[in-house]
Amino acid sequence: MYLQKVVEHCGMLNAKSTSTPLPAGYYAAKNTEPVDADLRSCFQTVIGCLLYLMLGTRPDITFAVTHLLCHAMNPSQDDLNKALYICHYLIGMSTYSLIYNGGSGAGLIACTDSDWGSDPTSHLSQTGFYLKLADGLISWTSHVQKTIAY
Amino acid sequence: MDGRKKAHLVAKGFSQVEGLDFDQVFSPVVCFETVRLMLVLAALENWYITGLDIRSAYLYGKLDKEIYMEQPEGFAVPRQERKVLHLWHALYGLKQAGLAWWRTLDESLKELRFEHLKSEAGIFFYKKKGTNIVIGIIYVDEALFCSPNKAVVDAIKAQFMHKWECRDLGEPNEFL
Repeated sequence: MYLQKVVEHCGMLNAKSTSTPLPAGYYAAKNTEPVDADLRSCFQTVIGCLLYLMLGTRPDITFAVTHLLCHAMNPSQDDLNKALYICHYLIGMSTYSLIYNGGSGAGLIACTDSDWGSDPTSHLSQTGFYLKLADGLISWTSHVQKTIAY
Repeated sequence: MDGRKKAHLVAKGFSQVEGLDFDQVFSPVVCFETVRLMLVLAALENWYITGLDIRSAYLYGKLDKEIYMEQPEGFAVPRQERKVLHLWHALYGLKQAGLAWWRTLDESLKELRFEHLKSEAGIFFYKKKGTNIVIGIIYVDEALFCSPNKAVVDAIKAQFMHKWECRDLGEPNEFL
Protein backbone atom coordinates (compact mmCIF):
# COMPACT_ATOMS: atom_id res chain seq x y z
CA MET A 1 0.00 0.00 0.00
CA TYR A 2 1.30 3.41 -0.95
CA LEU A 3 0.41 5.09 2.36
CA GLN A 4 2.41 2.48 4.23
CA LYS A 5 5.48 3.18 2.08
CA VAL A 6 5.16 6.91 2.72
CA VAL A 7 4.84 6.43 6.47
CA GLU A 8 7.78 4.05 6.44
CA HIS A 9 9.83 6.57 4.48
CA CYS A 10 9.12 9.22 7.12
CA GLY A 11 10.28 6.74 9.77
CA MET A 12 7.02 6.82 11.70
CA LEU A 13 5.74 3.26 11.47
CA ASN A 14 4.64 3.11 15.10
CA ALA A 15 3.65 6.74 15.43
CA LYS A 16 0.52 7.81 17.26
CA SER A 17 -2.40 9.07 15.26
CA THR A 18 -4.15 12.42 15.42
CA SER A 19 -7.84 12.96 14.84
CA THR A 20 -7.60 15.96 12.49
CA PRO A 21 -5.38 16.62 9.46
CA LEU A 22 -4.17 19.91 11.00
CA PRO A 23 -4.62 21.46 14.46
CA ALA A 24 -7.86 23.46 14.74
CA GLY A 25 -7.57 27.07 13.62
CA TYR A 26 -4.03 26.58 12.35
CA TYR A 27 -2.68 29.03 9.80
CA ALA A 28 0.80 28.58 8.41
CA ALA A 29 2.83 31.78 8.63
CA LYS A 30 5.13 32.64 5.76
CA ASN A 31 8.74 31.74 6.39
CA THR A 32 11.01 34.82 6.27
CA GLU A 33 14.25 32.90 6.87
CA PRO A 34 16.52 32.17 3.90
CA VAL A 35 15.87 28.86 2.11
CA ASP A 36 17.27 25.75 3.77
CA ALA A 37 17.86 23.38 0.83
CA ASP A 38 17.84 20.16 2.90
CA LEU A 39 14.68 21.12 4.72
CA ARG A 40 13.01 22.13 1.48
CA SER A 41 13.90 18.88 -0.25
CA CYS A 42 12.60 16.87 2.72
CA PHE A 43 9.40 18.90 2.89
CA GLN A 44 8.76 18.59 -0.82
CA THR A 45 9.22 14.83 -0.70
CA VAL A 46 6.68 14.44 2.09
CA ILE A 47 4.16 16.90 0.71
CA GLY A 48 4.53 15.39 -2.78
CA CYS A 49 3.58 11.98 -1.43
CA LEU A 50 0.65 13.49 0.44
CA LEU A 51 -0.44 15.31 -2.71
CA TYR A 52 -0.54 12.05 -4.64
CA LEU A 53 -2.63 10.43 -1.90
CA MET A 54 -4.93 13.45 -1.84
CA LEU A 55 -5.48 13.39 -5.60
CA GLY A 56 -6.10 9.67 -5.64
CA THR A 57 -8.26 8.66 -2.72
CA ARG A 58 -8.03 11.11 0.21
CA PRO A 59 -10.40 14.05 -0.12
CA ASP A 60 -10.25 14.54 3.66
CA ILE A 61 -6.72 15.97 3.56
CA THR A 62 -7.32 18.24 0.57
CA PHE A 63 -7.41 21.48 2.52
CA ALA A 64 -4.46 20.59 4.73
CA VAL A 65 -2.27 19.57 1.79
CA THR A 66 -3.10 22.52 -0.47
CA HIS A 67 -2.64 24.85 2.49
CA LEU A 68 0.87 23.59 3.19
CA LEU A 69 1.73 23.45 -0.50
CA CYS A 70 1.77 27.26 -0.57
CA HIS A 71 4.98 27.02 1.46
CA ALA A 72 6.75 24.50 -0.76
CA MET A 73 9.19 27.15 -2.06
CA ASN A 74 10.54 28.03 1.38
CA PRO A 75 9.19 25.80 4.13
CA SER A 76 9.99 26.28 7.82
CA GLN A 77 10.61 23.47 10.30
CA ASP A 78 7.06 24.07 11.51
CA ASP A 79 5.68 23.43 8.00
CA LEU A 80 7.52 20.12 7.89
CA ASN A 81 6.13 19.23 11.31
CA LYS A 82 2.64 20.00 10.07
CA ALA A 83 3.16 17.84 6.98
CA LEU A 84 4.15 15.02 9.32
CA TYR A 85 1.06 15.87 11.37
CA ILE A 86 -1.01 14.98 8.27
CA CYS A 87 0.86 11.68 8.10
CA HIS A 88 -0.08 11.06 11.74
CA TYR A 89 -3.69 11.71 10.83
CA LEU A 90 -3.53 9.31 7.89
CA ILE A 91 -2.10 6.56 10.09
CA GLY A 92 -5.23 6.69 12.21
CA MET A 93 -7.49 6.91 9.18
CA SER A 94 -5.71 4.35 6.99
CA THR A 95 -8.69 2.02 6.96
CA TYR A 96 -10.97 4.73 5.59
CA SER A 97 -11.62 4.52 1.89
CA LEU A 98 -13.90 5.73 -0.86
CA ILE A 99 -16.75 3.28 -1.25
CA TYR A 100 -19.01 3.34 -4.28
CA ASN A 101 -22.29 1.69 -3.45
CA GLY A 102 -23.85 0.55 -6.69
CA GLY A 103 -26.91 -0.68 -4.85
CA SER A 104 -27.63 2.79 -3.46
CA GLY A 105 -28.61 4.03 -6.91
CA ALA A 106 -27.64 7.49 -5.67
CA GLY A 107 -27.29 10.04 -8.46
CA LEU A 108 -24.99 12.99 -8.84
CA ILE A 109 -24.72 15.26 -5.81
CA ALA A 110 -22.60 18.39 -5.84
CA CYS A 111 -21.65 20.50 -2.84
CA THR A 112 -19.63 23.67 -2.61
CA ASP A 113 -18.65 25.96 0.22
CA SER A 114 -16.27 28.77 0.93
CA ASP A 115 -15.22 30.88 3.86
CA TRP A 116 -14.78 34.63 3.81
CA GLY A 117 -11.31 36.11 3.89
CA SER A 118 -10.01 33.53 6.35
CA ASP A 119 -6.35 34.02 5.56
CA PRO A 120 -5.10 36.52 8.16
CA THR A 121 -2.30 37.90 5.97
CA SER A 122 -3.68 38.00 2.43
CA HIS A 123 -7.42 38.09 3.30
CA LEU A 124 -8.11 35.67 0.49
CA SER A 125 -11.00 33.23 0.84
CA GLN A 126 -10.88 29.47 0.52
CA THR A 127 -13.26 27.58 -1.76
CA GLY A 128 -13.92 23.90 -2.13
CA PHE A 129 -16.33 21.54 -3.82
CA TYR A 130 -17.04 17.87 -4.24
CA LEU A 131 -19.06 15.71 -6.60
CA LYS A 132 -20.63 12.52 -5.38
CA LEU A 133 -21.97 9.62 -7.39
CA ALA A 134 -23.25 6.27 -6.12
CA ASP A 135 -22.72 7.53 -2.58
CA GLY A 136 -18.98 8.02 -3.08
CA LEU A 137 -16.85 11.03 -3.98
CA ILE A 138 -15.56 11.21 -7.54
CA SER A 139 -14.14 14.73 -7.71
CA TRP A 140 -12.96 17.28 -5.15
CA THR A 141 -10.83 20.40 -4.75
CA SER A 142 -9.96 23.01 -2.20
CA HIS A 143 -8.15 26.15 -3.23
CA VAL A 144 -7.56 29.77 -2.37
CA GLN A 145 -9.66 32.18 -4.41
CA LYS A 146 -7.79 34.33 -6.90
CA THR A 147 -9.34 37.65 -5.93
CA ILE A 148 -10.19 39.28 -2.61
CA ALA A 149 -13.91 39.17 -1.81
CA TYR A 150 -15.65 42.21 -0.31
CA MET B 1 10.23 -2.75 -3.84
CA ASP B 2 8.86 -6.10 -4.94
CA GLY B 3 12.22 -7.82 -5.13
CA ARG B 4 12.70 -7.38 -8.87
CA LYS B 5 16.10 -6.02 -9.86
CA LYS B 6 15.94 -3.05 -12.14
CA ALA B 7 18.43 -1.51 -14.55
CA HIS B 8 17.75 0.02 -17.90
CA LEU B 9 19.41 1.65 -20.82
CA VAL B 10 18.56 5.33 -21.08
CA ALA B 11 18.90 7.55 -24.14
CA LYS B 12 20.21 11.08 -23.75
CA GLY B 13 16.94 12.85 -24.46
CA PHE B 14 18.42 16.23 -23.59
CA SER B 15 20.55 16.16 -26.75
CA GLN B 16 17.52 15.77 -29.03
CA VAL B 17 16.76 18.70 -31.29
CA GLU B 18 13.16 19.80 -31.67
CA GLY B 19 11.82 19.46 -35.22
CA LEU B 20 14.67 17.15 -36.16
CA ASP B 21 14.56 14.35 -33.60
CA PHE B 22 11.04 14.93 -32.30
CA ASP B 23 7.94 17.05 -32.87
CA GLN B 24 5.12 16.27 -30.50
CA VAL B 25 5.85 15.03 -27.00
CA PHE B 26 2.54 15.26 -25.15
CA SER B 27 1.27 11.84 -24.28
CA PRO B 28 -2.32 11.46 -23.09
CA VAL B 29 -3.23 9.69 -19.88
CA VAL B 30 -6.52 9.35 -18.02
CA CYS B 31 -7.17 11.77 -15.20
CA PHE B 32 -8.05 10.41 -11.76
CA GLU B 33 -11.61 11.75 -11.99
CA THR B 34 -12.22 9.61 -15.04
CA VAL B 35 -10.82 6.53 -13.38
CA ARG B 36 -13.11 7.04 -10.40
CA LEU B 37 -16.06 7.78 -12.66
CA MET B 38 -15.51 4.52 -14.50
CA LEU B 39 -15.28 2.63 -11.20
CA VAL B 40 -18.58 4.22 -10.14
CA LEU B 41 -20.13 3.17 -13.44
CA ALA B 42 -18.91 -0.37 -12.87
CA ALA B 43 -20.36 -0.29 -9.33
CA LEU B 44 -23.74 1.06 -10.45
CA GLU B 45 -24.10 -1.37 -13.32
CA ASN B 46 -22.53 -4.26 -11.43
CA TRP B 47 -19.81 -4.77 -14.01
CA TYR B 48 -16.83 -7.06 -13.89
CA ILE B 49 -13.38 -5.41 -13.66
CA THR B 50 -10.08 -6.99 -14.53
CA GLY B 51 -6.60 -5.49 -14.67
CA LEU B 52 -3.22 -5.99 -16.24
CA ASP B 53 0.17 -4.37 -16.42
CA ILE B 54 2.14 -4.23 -19.67
CA ARG B 55 5.77 -5.15 -19.23
CA SER B 56 8.32 -2.52 -20.30
CA ALA B 57 5.65 -0.72 -22.32
CA TYR B 58 7.88 2.23 -23.28
CA LEU B 59 10.23 0.01 -25.24
CA TYR B 60 7.50 -0.97 -27.74
CA GLY B 61 6.86 2.56 -29.00
CA LYS B 62 7.50 2.82 -32.75
CA LEU B 63 9.57 5.83 -33.76
CA ASP B 64 8.63 8.02 -36.72
CA LYS B 65 12.01 9.77 -36.72
CA GLU B 66 15.42 8.43 -37.57
CA ILE B 67 17.37 8.46 -34.32
CA TYR B 68 20.94 7.37 -33.76
CA MET B 69 22.57 6.77 -30.43
CA GLU B 70 26.11 6.25 -29.19
CA GLN B 71 26.84 2.74 -28.00
CA PRO B 72 26.57 2.47 -24.22
CA GLU B 73 29.90 2.59 -22.42
CA GLY B 74 31.21 -0.87 -21.59
CA PHE B 75 28.69 -2.57 -23.86
CA ALA B 76 30.03 -1.54 -27.25
CA VAL B 77 30.31 -4.27 -29.88
CA PRO B 78 33.97 -5.39 -29.95
CA ARG B 79 35.96 -4.02 -32.90
CA GLN B 80 32.98 -1.89 -33.95
CA GLU B 81 33.27 0.64 -31.16
CA ARG B 82 33.15 3.57 -33.59
CA LYS B 83 29.71 2.67 -34.95
CA VAL B 84 26.46 4.07 -33.58
CA LEU B 85 23.08 2.44 -32.96
CA HIS B 86 20.02 3.10 -35.11
CA LEU B 87 16.94 2.98 -32.89
CA TRP B 88 13.91 1.11 -34.18
CA HIS B 89 11.89 1.50 -31.03
CA ALA B 90 11.65 4.13 -28.33
CA LEU B 91 13.92 4.01 -25.34
CA TYR B 92 13.60 5.43 -21.83
CA GLY B 93 14.76 9.03 -21.88
CA LEU B 94 13.64 9.87 -25.40
CA LYS B 95 11.37 12.89 -25.45
CA GLN B 96 8.71 11.21 -27.56
CA ALA B 97 8.82 7.80 -25.85
CA GLY B 98 5.50 8.30 -24.05
CA LEU B 99 3.63 9.47 -27.10
CA ALA B 100 5.23 6.80 -29.30
CA TRP B 101 3.99 4.12 -26.89
CA TRP B 102 0.48 5.59 -26.79
CA ARG B 103 0.29 5.65 -30.60
CA THR B 104 1.51 2.08 -30.84
CA LEU B 105 -1.00 1.02 -28.21
CA ASP B 106 -3.81 2.92 -29.94
CA GLU B 107 -2.98 1.18 -33.21
CA SER B 108 -2.97 -2.27 -31.64
CA LEU B 109 -6.23 -1.60 -29.84
CA LYS B 110 -7.76 -0.50 -33.13
CA GLU B 111 -7.00 -3.98 -34.46
CA LEU B 112 -9.02 -5.32 -31.52
CA ARG B 113 -11.78 -2.90 -32.58
CA PHE B 114 -11.29 -0.53 -29.67
CA GLU B 115 -11.58 3.19 -30.15
CA HIS B 116 -10.35 5.92 -27.86
CA LEU B 117 -12.58 8.75 -26.70
CA LYS B 118 -11.90 12.13 -28.24
CA SER B 119 -12.21 13.89 -24.90
CA GLU B 120 -10.17 11.39 -22.91
CA ALA B 121 -7.57 9.53 -24.92
CA GLY B 122 -6.84 7.03 -22.15
CA ILE B 123 -10.35 5.57 -22.31
CA PHE B 124 -10.91 2.94 -24.98
CA PHE B 125 -14.23 1.36 -25.74
CA TYR B 126 -15.22 -1.70 -27.67
CA LYS B 127 -18.71 -1.78 -29.07
CA LYS B 128 -19.99 -4.41 -31.41
CA LYS B 129 -23.55 -5.34 -32.27
CA GLY B 130 -24.85 -8.37 -30.42
CA THR B 131 -22.20 -8.33 -27.69
CA ASN B 132 -21.56 -6.38 -24.52
CA ILE B 133 -19.55 -3.21 -24.34
CA VAL B 134 -16.02 -3.33 -22.94
CA ILE B 135 -14.29 -0.24 -21.58
CA GLY B 136 -10.53 -0.05 -21.21
CA ILE B 137 -8.95 2.46 -18.84
CA ILE B 138 -5.29 2.72 -19.70
CA TYR B 139 -2.70 4.74 -17.81
CA VAL B 140 0.54 4.30 -19.78
CA ASP B 141 1.25 0.67 -18.88
CA GLU B 142 -1.50 -0.14 -16.40
CA ALA B 143 -4.89 -1.11 -17.71
CA LEU B 144 -8.32 -1.94 -16.38
CA PHE B 145 -10.97 -3.54 -18.55
CA CYS B 146 -14.57 -3.51 -17.43
CA SER B 147 -17.68 -4.98 -18.94
CA PRO B 148 -21.07 -6.35 -17.90
CA ASN B 149 -20.02 -9.71 -19.27
CA LYS B 150 -17.06 -11.57 -17.76
CA ALA B 151 -16.70 -13.93 -20.72
CA VAL B 152 -16.48 -11.07 -23.22
CA VAL B 153 -13.91 -9.10 -21.27
CA ASP B 154 -11.82 -12.20 -20.56
CA ALA B 155 -11.77 -13.07 -24.26
CA ILE B 156 -10.63 -9.57 -25.19
CA LYS B 157 -8.07 -9.51 -22.42
CA ALA B 158 -6.66 -12.79 -23.70
CA GLN B 159 -6.34 -11.28 -27.19
CA PHE B 160 -4.64 -8.22 -25.75
CA MET B 161 -2.24 -10.33 -23.70
CA HIS B 162 -1.39 -12.27 -26.82
CA LYS B 163 -0.20 -9.03 -28.44
CA TRP B 164 1.69 -7.64 -25.44
CA GLU B 165 3.67 -9.31 -22.71
CA CYS B 166 1.61 -8.54 -19.61
CA ARG B 167 1.37 -9.23 -15.93
CA ASP B 168 -2.17 -10.35 -15.20
CA LEU B 169 -3.53 -8.58 -12.13
CA GLY B 170 -6.80 -10.51 -12.11
CA GLU B 171 -9.52 -8.74 -10.16
CA PRO B 172 -7.42 -5.79 -9.06
CA ASN B 173 -7.33 -4.32 -5.58
CA GLU B 174 -5.10 -1.43 -6.55
CA PHE B 175 -4.55 0.77 -9.58
CA LEU B 176 -1.85 3.43 -10.11
